[in-house]
Amino acid sequence: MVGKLYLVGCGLTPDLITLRALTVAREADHVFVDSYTSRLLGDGLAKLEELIGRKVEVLGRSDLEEGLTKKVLPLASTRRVALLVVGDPLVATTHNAIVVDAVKRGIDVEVVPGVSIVPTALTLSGLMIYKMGRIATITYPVHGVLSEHPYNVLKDNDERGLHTLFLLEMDAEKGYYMRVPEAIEILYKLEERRGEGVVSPERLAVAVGALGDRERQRVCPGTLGELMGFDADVPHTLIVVSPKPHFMEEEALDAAKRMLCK
Amino acid sequence: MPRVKAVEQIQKIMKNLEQVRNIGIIAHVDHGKTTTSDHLLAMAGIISEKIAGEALVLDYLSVEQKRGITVKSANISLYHEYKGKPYVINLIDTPGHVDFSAKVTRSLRVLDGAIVVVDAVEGVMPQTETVLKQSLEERVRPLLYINKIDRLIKELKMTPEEIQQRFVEIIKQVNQMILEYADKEFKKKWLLDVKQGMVAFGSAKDGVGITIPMAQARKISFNDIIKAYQKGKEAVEELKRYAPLHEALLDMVVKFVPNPREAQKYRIPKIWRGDINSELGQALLNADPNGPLVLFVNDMRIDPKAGLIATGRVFSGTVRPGQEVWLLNARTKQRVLQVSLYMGPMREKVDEITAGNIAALLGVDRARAGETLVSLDIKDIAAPFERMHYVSEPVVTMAVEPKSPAELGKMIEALRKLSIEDPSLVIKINEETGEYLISGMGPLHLEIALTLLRENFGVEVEPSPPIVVYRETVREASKVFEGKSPNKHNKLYISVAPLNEETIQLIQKGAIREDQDARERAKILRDEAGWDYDEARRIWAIDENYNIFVNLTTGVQHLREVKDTIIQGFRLAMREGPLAKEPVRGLKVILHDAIIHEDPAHRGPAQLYPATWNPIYAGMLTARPTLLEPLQKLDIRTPMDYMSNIIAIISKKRGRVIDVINISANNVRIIAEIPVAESFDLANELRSASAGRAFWGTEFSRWAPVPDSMLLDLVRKIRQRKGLPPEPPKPEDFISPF
Repeated sequence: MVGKLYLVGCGLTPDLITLRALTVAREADHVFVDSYTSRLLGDGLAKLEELIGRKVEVLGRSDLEEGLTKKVLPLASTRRVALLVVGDPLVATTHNAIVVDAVKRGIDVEVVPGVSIVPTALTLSGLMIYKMGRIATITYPVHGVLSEHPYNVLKDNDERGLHTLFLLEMDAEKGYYMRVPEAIEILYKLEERRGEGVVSPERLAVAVGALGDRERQRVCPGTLGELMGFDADVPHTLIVVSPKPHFMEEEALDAAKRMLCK
Repeated sequence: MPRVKAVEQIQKIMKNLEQVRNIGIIAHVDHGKTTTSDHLLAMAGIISEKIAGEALVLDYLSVEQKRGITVKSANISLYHEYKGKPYVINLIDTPGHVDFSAKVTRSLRVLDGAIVVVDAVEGVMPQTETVLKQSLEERVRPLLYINKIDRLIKELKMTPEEIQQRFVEIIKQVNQMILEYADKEFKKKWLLDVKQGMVAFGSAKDGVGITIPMAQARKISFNDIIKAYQKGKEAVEELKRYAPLHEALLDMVVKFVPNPREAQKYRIPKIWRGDINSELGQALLNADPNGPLVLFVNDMRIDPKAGLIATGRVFSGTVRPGQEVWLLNARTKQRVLQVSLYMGPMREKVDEITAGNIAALLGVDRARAGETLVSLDIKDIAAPFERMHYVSEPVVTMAVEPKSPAELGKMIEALRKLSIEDPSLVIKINEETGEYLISGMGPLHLEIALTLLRENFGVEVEPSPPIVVYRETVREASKVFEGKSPNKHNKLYISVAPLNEETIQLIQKGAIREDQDARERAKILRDEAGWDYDEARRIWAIDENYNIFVNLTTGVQHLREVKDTIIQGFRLAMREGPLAKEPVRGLKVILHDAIIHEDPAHRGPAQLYPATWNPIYAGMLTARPTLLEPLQKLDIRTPMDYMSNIIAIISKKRGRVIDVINISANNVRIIAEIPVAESFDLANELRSASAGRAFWGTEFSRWAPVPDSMLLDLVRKIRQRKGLPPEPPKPEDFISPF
């Protein structure tokens, strides 16, 4: 039997899954779910299983990195294997290496796109994709070294008049998720170190939490100073608005605030 | 009799540095260091009125108690009068066995003079030489005490001429070492002159001792001593009154050991790295009590009642209770809670201790032996003391478990305390088996640790047989290997090569260090170890097991942000090599190129550690990897008749005879080297091969590759012991297929 690997984005919440994703998950011989690059909110896993009508096997980081060639790929050379990834498999979660490895082994691959955090956060905040700059992750210090990369990206985007979307560091396996106030603290620290006038409490931004969950999601435009009090379920995302927003965006931000920041 | 003194009297003497001496006793094991210290304590100890009043004085005199005290005290202050003037002589503990080399060197830092004890029968032994060399490197002035002369008379029945000949031999040997190892300006100055009284002869057991000036003044000839010993006990008792050992030794110390201020003038430029012309430099040179505080901690001990006690020397300034101090190594601030001086072996609280003296401190429990404490206002300008040169690579290890399982907690606590007191004792938990492992500098070191566990902490343990610790290294350079991070978004290009012996020695000596100016380090490596200057300038890290990481990349984006992660990955890889998970030694790791993902979420430690160690391991496995084993130097003296038996044992144990020297008509000295792995029953075999007539000393010699014919077998054995699959991995196991 000829196998196939389906890299399936299953959306941010089970009710944001696409019909194609659902079909693939139902018809595959094996269904895995990636548990480390993101997480299904609340009882999302149980709901997902209910939706596709079968149990799924949860894979950790090492199964999909060092262990990829031990389990998933050998299986996919003779069976239809669906690997479900929260959101989209290739946007914030960079699973391109899996696609490349599989193709090199002659395995047929189908990528099923899903509703991902990056466009969705932008969409709900009312900002335009046309003015979207490079994205970056704000991370905790490693061995006492704080990465200055987010600061560089922000500065660069500012100069071009673009928005900057920050993903916040998380480790679903270890169960930690950076929250917006922590991310702002880190930006302040970077400003203190670099002193190039990029970050200030007056800057306009949008804090996003529990994206995709209609009950709990919050999308709150405000100044960085105001957003220090942002509270919502994780994961969190932070968008720093361009220094020159479009007038339409300003109105849309206002609308978003009324709709989604209760 | 111990003299009873008021604390104030002692404090007064301590403030006049001309009346203070800081000394130690160094000796080969069993040459009589403890007996000598005990004797000095008994005859010249100081105790305070308070303690004497508490009737402790009797206990204090009992031999049992005294021994315990000598063993446990970091310092003993002695009181001595010379030509009517009072002196305080600090006798600082230096551990006897060379297995404690690290500890010896730390204590040498606070001494200005040392009494070298040599057994008249055994002569100068390898440990005597090692420690003497270390003292001379620290500019500690040596004086000689030839001990156990009674054995020459009673056991060996030597004639006066033979005895004199023996003395001349020993003095000549020690003087040769002084000529060889002392710094230029002291080579002549410190040569031992018997006539001036720089050498004492005696028997610590009997409390008899004499120097030439003493003999002349008291009109005693050496023949009188011989006669007394021939006559018997009473005559020796009588002799003791004319030739008391403590006077011989302490007079010698007062006369020839410089006072602390005099000593610091020439010792500070050697042991301190800072600018001598600065204000701080001058305060140190002059042992200025009004200068900024600089205190070197040479010993940390746990007092069951008081807690962790730091003993050290104030090199500048004055230490007072309540003072906040900065710990240069621990990089932290702590408050001194209590300051004590030593009265004999006891500690007495005082309100201050001034430069040049030995202090005991409570409150600085973050300090470890080797720490430097300074006043807060100089914390950023105080250069640390020159790092001490010592070999502290553990070579044997054993697993321990408490005899009664209920005592596990007690044992763990005791092990923790032991390793604080003796940092060269390494305590580890084997994660796989849950065993507690103690590693040390030699089999004897571990034996002593077990004794301490039993006697000081009351823990009975069941030890495994000692196991030799190996090192992994390579014998040629590898090609460049690509290391991918697990997410495949980062790549490091790394090769490995052996470091040359010169480089390893420079690290050992402390001449090159990680925290050193890169240009200065590069110059030394170029001039003394044949490095390319540009390569040497690009060193990122030097790890504790003598491995170096070099970054040869240029213009790699984002590399600066992951530098520390890569270095940490390198350090982790060096802890466990690919062959048998033994520590790696003498490896140069070169980073040639790298591709680093721009987003920090995709280049964390989980990604970069494997990207660092995989190419290192692949490189090592292709570069003729091998295990290094520790070799021991053996210095054996034996009657000629047993020489061939002994040499046969040495070769049977994969040993090598380095030299055979005739020391007298019928005696030879054999210098040899054997693997530590073969040495565990050596003592028994040597004894039976020589009918008990040979005696010997051992010390760590060097690391050497195990014979190729044994390598794979040994690797398998170690791996099995560690619960690993017996076959070592292959290079392919560390190379990503795509």
